[in-house]
Order: sequence, then structure tokens, then C-alpha cells
Amino acid sequence: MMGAANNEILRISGLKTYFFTRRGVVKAVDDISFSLRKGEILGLVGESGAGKSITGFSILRLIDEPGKIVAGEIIFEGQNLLAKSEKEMERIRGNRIAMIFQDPQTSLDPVFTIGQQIVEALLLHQNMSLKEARHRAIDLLRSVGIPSPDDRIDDYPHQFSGGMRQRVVIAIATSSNPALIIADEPSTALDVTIQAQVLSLMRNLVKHRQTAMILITHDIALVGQFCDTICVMYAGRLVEKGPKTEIIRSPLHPYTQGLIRSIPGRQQRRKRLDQIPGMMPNLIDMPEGCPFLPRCEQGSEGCRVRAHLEEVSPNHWVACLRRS
Amino acid sequence: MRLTSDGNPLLQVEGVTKHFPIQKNIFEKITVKRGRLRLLNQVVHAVNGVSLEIHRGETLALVGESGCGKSTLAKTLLGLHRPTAGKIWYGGKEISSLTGYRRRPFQKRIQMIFQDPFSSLNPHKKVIDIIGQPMKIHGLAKGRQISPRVLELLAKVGMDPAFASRYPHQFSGGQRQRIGIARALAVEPELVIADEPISALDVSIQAQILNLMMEMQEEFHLTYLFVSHDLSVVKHIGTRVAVMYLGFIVETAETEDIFADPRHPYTQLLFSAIPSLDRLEFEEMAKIEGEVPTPIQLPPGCPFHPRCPRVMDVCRRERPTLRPVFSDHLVSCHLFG
Repeated sequence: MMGAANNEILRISGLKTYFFTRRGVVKAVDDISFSLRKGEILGLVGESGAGKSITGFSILRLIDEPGKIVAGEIIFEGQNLLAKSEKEMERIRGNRIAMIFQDPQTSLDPVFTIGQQIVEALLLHQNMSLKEARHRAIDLLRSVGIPSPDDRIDDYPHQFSGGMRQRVVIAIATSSNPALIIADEPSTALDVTIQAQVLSLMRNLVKHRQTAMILITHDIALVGQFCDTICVMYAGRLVEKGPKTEIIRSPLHPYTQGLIRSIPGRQQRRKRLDQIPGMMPNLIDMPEGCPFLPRCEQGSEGCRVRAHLEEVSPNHWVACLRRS
Repeated sequence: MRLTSDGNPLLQVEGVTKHFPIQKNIFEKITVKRGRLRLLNQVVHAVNGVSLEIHRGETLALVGESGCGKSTLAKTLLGLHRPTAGKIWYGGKEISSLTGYRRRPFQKRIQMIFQDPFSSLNPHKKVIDIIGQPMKIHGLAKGRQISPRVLELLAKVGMDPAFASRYPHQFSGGQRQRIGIARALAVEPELVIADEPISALDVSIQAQILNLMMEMQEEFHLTYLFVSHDLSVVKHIGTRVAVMYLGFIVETAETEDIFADPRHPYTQLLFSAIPSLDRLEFEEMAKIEGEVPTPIQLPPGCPFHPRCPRVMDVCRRERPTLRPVFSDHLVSCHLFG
């Protein structure tokens, strides 16, 4: 832990983001801790509603009413983001921390050319002239593999295909050479062959510049290939984290085990698949105990008290009372 | 599983083509080019001369990327689209030209499970009416007979019969998909066309619905046409696989054969692009170049030639046809000419 401290770029500890709705308190993110080193790609996996995206938005402090970050620390490059003013955050967002969203259709403004949008991002965070910015934008487009960038820079987003648009978004995200990129389902809206292209590109850029990255996705097979570390979320809690081979090859939490076992294609064909019974509980006023208990085959009465993440083997953390 | 011996497929498709016009009326057609008025007649070539057979009791998986025409083909088989050209036989009878009451017996035999369980159920109707109405329409039950049959079906698809009087919005995605399956099974169909039935569901729910579909197939002796882009699902559930690209079928084979030995360059590309848990190292996808061309202007020759790593001269000129490489493994590629 101490040795890695120099390289550590982000440390989240005890983060709680709650939504205070009329029907009760939704603990969307409930006591989450993890850290990220330079050049590390961390995969945040879970079903919809597990709190993955809210974790990403919390890091950027983009939580709107009725949501609120009620506790925790987000230490980014040695400074606590939760203690910063809104003005200071504006200098960090899109500059030191960039975000890539799921749908490239909606994250680009349809009424400006992509050149204008990249140049805007460059001028906002960097001290350069318009001419320099335009040159830099063309270089960026070339670096994300857009053919003939000199011509395409004056095109509007609708003139690009989905995969190309996502490349433009990646170009904008990497324009300021951020220390951390948060990618929220960046390839879900794309076709499989295009997804493979875009992911290859992202991984190359990130590994080349030693940028840290958080990849938020529901696709555990994708995480298994793309990431270095995996965090599994369920109902607002972190249930397991560790190096990817550990998590995929020897998962310890019953939820992770069920998730990996239920993936078709690796079991005997046309036979019944292993399945996790039931569905994720409603997050409003959740009981303190293990959120997975109603669906867990290994659970017992003892699971009604809260399980905290514990290190069961080096770097492999599990929140399950049956394991500790 | 597959009854090849009797030689009578349940459904036979021959040269089915579906084109959608882009300019729907004369005003949209008129354009000015170099100062002269011209009429434009562009079409989207969604499905181009597809021929295939579906045999009783099998699960034919139709795979391809979005926009390759797999959903259009499924809807054409169901009768929601009328084919631009080509013929569809069901149990030896030509059905693509039938309309109205002549079509009705086949509508009962071919049912569909839709992708999005949120938009495919009428929000104004209770579950009992959603499942019961098709029974009424096809004369399978009436009046007081309907309710017990609906409750029985609900129990079969793993739902509490007490839910019958609820509305769709009161259910989760997985539960709605179960209702969708019950609705399709209500008229005792023979062929069920499932268009991406699990892709809108959460990962932990997908296995539940797949299991249910396999159970139902066993119990009601169903034949499935399973449309999907998810190859791991296809590998698990399919008995035979047909791969589509730009509205053409480029390869069909038994599932084991095609996964063990994909022949068409596109199939190979598709299979290599999909992340799987078998290999955990990140593999470069540098060899994949380019994107899917628009179906408005199909490339001449082989539809895949602009992206194909093994493109030859002949591929740019001549359109390949589906030919057997060995007995049941058909490939449409000049490499195997």
C-alpha cells in the first residue's frame, strides 16, 4: 500500500451518495472504497441500478438534487475533491478528469462542427491561440484514427457514424491529457466489430500516456479482457474487488460467482443454465444486512448484519460474512 | 434433434428480398441536380435474396450486427412486412401472398417474442387481457374458459397467477418478458420468432429467460427462430446458425461446426471481436478495418469485400452465392468457389 502511494492517482474511501426522495432514502452508493494507480484500468461492473454510474458522477461531483454525497473522501492527485469549491471543480472537470458517455449521439452538440467542439475544449483548459487549437484538434482526430481529419474537422456530428462519433468523443476527452478518464458504457451503443475497434483505440491511448481509467459496464466478459482490476457492485455496495484474473477465475462472492456461471457459451450446450434466482431489490430503505441475501444460496441468518470488504487473499477483497 | 430425413422443412424461404423506399411520394422524389429536375428512387436494401429452411424442433439462430436485416427478415416471415420479391412456404403452403382471413391460421402458428418488454405490451391492458385476447381471436377459448387458461400459462412461465389483474408497468423487465412469452404461447404456436428476447434485460435475468425459453421449447415442442447479436447466447441455445451481413446470409452451419470452424471472413471477424471469458488477455483488433457500408448503395460483388482482409479481384465483380463447403455447412464466399 505504501509503495504504491506515489503512483496512486485516486483514492475513494467510504463514499456514500444518497437520494432523498419522497418515498424514502435511496442509498445509490453506500460506503464504497477503492483506489486507482497511474495507467491502471479499473472495471466497475454491475447490473443497471447497482450504482456504477452514480459512483462515476460522484467523482466529478455531478450529483443533482435530490441526490447528495453524504459521506466519504475522494482524494484525487492528493486533494480531496469533496472539499473543493464549484469553481475549482470546473477546472478539474474535462481537464484533469474527463468523462466518456455511453451515447455518442447525445454527448456531442448537433449544431456545432466537431472542430468547434474540440477547439472549445482546448481553449477552455489550455492557453493556446485559435490557430494552434485547430492544428491540435486535427492531430487529435488523426490520433483516434479518423481518416482525412483536415476535411472531417468541419463536419457536423450527424455526418459521422456511431463508431466515428465515439472516436471524436475520445479525442475531446484526451485533448487535455487528463490524469483520469471515466468511461460510462462507452461501447454499449456500438456494434461488436466497431466496439472492438473503439476499445482497442482507448486502451492504446490510455496505456501509452499512463492515464488511469474507470470503465463502467455491465459486461463482465468485456471487463475480463479490457481491465486490470475489477470492482463488482450490487445494490449500491461494492461486493468484491481484486485483480481481474482472481475475480474471473476464482470469484468468492456468491453474486460474482452466479454472474460468471450464468454466462452462456461455456457450459454444456442446450442444457439449463445456472441462474441467479430473483432480482435486485428496490433500493429504497434497504435493510442493513447483505443486499444479496434474498437471492443467495449460501446465505444464512447471520448475513443480516452488514458485511464489510475484507482482504481474503492478497489484493482480493470480498464483502461476504461466509468468506471471512 | 433435427429431422433431415423427412426433407420437409417447417418453414422454407426462397430468395426473399425486402427493400424500403426512402422517397415515399413524388414530392420527396424530386431533386435538383446540375440545374435539372430529377426523380430519385432510392431504396434501403434491408434483405437481399435470402433463402433458408427451418426444421421442426430446431432452434435456428440468426446472427449479425445491427442493421444487417435480421429483424426485417424475422418480421417478413411473420407477415408484418410483405416481401419485395421471393416466396415463403409454411408446411408446404405459400404464405407470403396471403392476406386477411386466409393468413390468420398461419398467424396462429407463427408467434413472436419481442426485444423490448417495455414497448411490446399494451400499457392500458391487464395481464389477463394481454394473454387472453389472442386466445379469443383465434377461437381457442371463450368467455369463462379464458381465465383458467391464462392463470395456467402464467404459472408455466414462472409468474404468480395472482398477477393476472395487474398492469404491465407494475412489473420488472424480466417479468414483462415472461408475460411476452406467455402471450406468444397463448395461441399454441408451432414456430416462435424471438427477436433479441434477452438483450434488453439485466445480466442476471438473461439466464432465467433463456432457461424458460428452453423449457417451453421442450414442453410445447416449439421451433425457434432466435435472432440475436450475442454469440455466447447463440452458442448455447442454437442448433443451427445463420450469419447475416448487409441483408445477405453469408454462412450457415450446425452450431458446433460454425463455432469450431468459421469459414467466411466476416464470421471469423465477428467471432474474434466478441469478448469472452475464455481468454483474459486483451487482443488487438487492428485487423478490423472500416465500417459496415450503407444498405442504400450496396457494394458491387461480395457485400463484405470493402472490409475483407482476404479480398480478391473476383470479389469486387461477382456476387458470391451460398454453396456447401461440406454437407451442411454453406458459405457465400469466392474463397470456397
